[in-house]
Amino acid sequence: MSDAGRLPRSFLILSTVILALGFFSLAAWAITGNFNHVGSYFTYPAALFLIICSITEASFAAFAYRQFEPSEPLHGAWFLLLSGAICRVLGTAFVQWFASDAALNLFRRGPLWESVPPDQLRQIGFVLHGPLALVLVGSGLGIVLRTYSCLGWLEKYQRVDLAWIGAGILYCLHHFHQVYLNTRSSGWKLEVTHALNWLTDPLLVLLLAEVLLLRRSAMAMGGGWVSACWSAYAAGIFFTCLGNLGIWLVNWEYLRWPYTSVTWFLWLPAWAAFALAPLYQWSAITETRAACWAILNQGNASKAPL
Amino acid sequence: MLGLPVRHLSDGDLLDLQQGAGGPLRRWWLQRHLRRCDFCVEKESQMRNLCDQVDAALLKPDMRAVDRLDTRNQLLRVMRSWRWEGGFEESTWHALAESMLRCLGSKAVDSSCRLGPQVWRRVSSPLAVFVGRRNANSISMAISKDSRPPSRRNEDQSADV
Repeated sequence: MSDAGRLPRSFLILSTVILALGFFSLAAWAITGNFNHVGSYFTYPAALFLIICSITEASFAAFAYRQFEPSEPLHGAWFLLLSGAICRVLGTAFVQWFASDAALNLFRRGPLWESVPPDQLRQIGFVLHGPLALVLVGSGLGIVLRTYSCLGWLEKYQRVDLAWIGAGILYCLHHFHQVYLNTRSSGWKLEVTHALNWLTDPLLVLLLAEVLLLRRSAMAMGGGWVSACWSAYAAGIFFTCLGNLGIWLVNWEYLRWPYTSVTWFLWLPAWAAFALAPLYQWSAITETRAACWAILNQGNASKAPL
Repeated sequence: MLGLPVRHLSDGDLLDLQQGAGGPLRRWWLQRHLRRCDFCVEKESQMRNLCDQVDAALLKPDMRAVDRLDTRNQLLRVMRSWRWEGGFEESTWHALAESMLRCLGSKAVDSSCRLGPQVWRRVSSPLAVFVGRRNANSISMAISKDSRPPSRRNEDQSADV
């Protein structure tokens, strides 16, 4: 593997180790019957991993954004992807750090923490890394799709893709029906953060439709870092959809506490995939630069005495 | 006639001429120079021959394989043919071809290679789109820069009309 591939590979290894640690905690719970093993895992290593993932995503998206000039099509795309990544950093920090009662949260006994209920902080975090980040990422990926179309590399949906989208639409209709029934029974009292979070599901279906097409087009390139970058975004959205499905299963009591914690694991690969995407973009740029340097050096060498 | 040194047409000028790129004024100036300069006429005809050879090679059915090795060989062949006179070592060309494959993917490079004379532009263009023009342009410049032996280059630059 080239030097450019080392960073994504290292990050993949780290993600695998963290996930494996999670499965060990699940096994420990199953054997001992003590749920604290899983609880501690999500309070410390998993929370820290999610924060590291979002910071990695934002840092490398910022690097990618700086590589494009305003006149280039992907300048706008990376600006939106970077904005989405920043929302994810803030949202993750609110949910996993500021709203946490764990020792990781250094502000937990401060005046601000006591004045704002943790649940409210968590809701703000959900809006930030939920609908807000998704709108930004979706718009950025829309520009990428348009670029593929301009290059003539846009592929078509296949039947399995249409089946996924159809299932998503059915789920959305069901979701809105439930929202309607719930708000009617509560006398149409709405909380802004809750109402914003309702948008997550239809947004995810739109994003799913977008990334399925993007993944098909990226795969048709025959591998490469560029294709890996967009495929990683597609994987991130796909795992987010699965995570949301997990929430639905919990809300409808198909899964009961403490088994609901199994669905929490879905957010780890989702965040890891979002972080991997700009890492792959970094690899593509590093690879191109390395090739340029190699050929320039060779060129200079060939100019030496003949 | 005036004893002024003449700037001969570069590879880029000739490519623009072949592809009909650039504005009408520029094309008119290039054609005007071609009519008057035997050196550039010869250079243009050699380049045209190379392009035809590459096109013919790429249009062969057996050259359309999309597996990695064939694509790399095609790309190498095309890149080499676009150079006016060689200069870089084989390993450098391999490294560049491999890098492009690692960045863009074998099928993307393969489909670009099959497009004929505009190949380098077609290959470098998607690369520029996805990694930034600033990064890809440096490769493009490295490829297209004149690497003729310095003695020959000096001769050309001091030629008088």
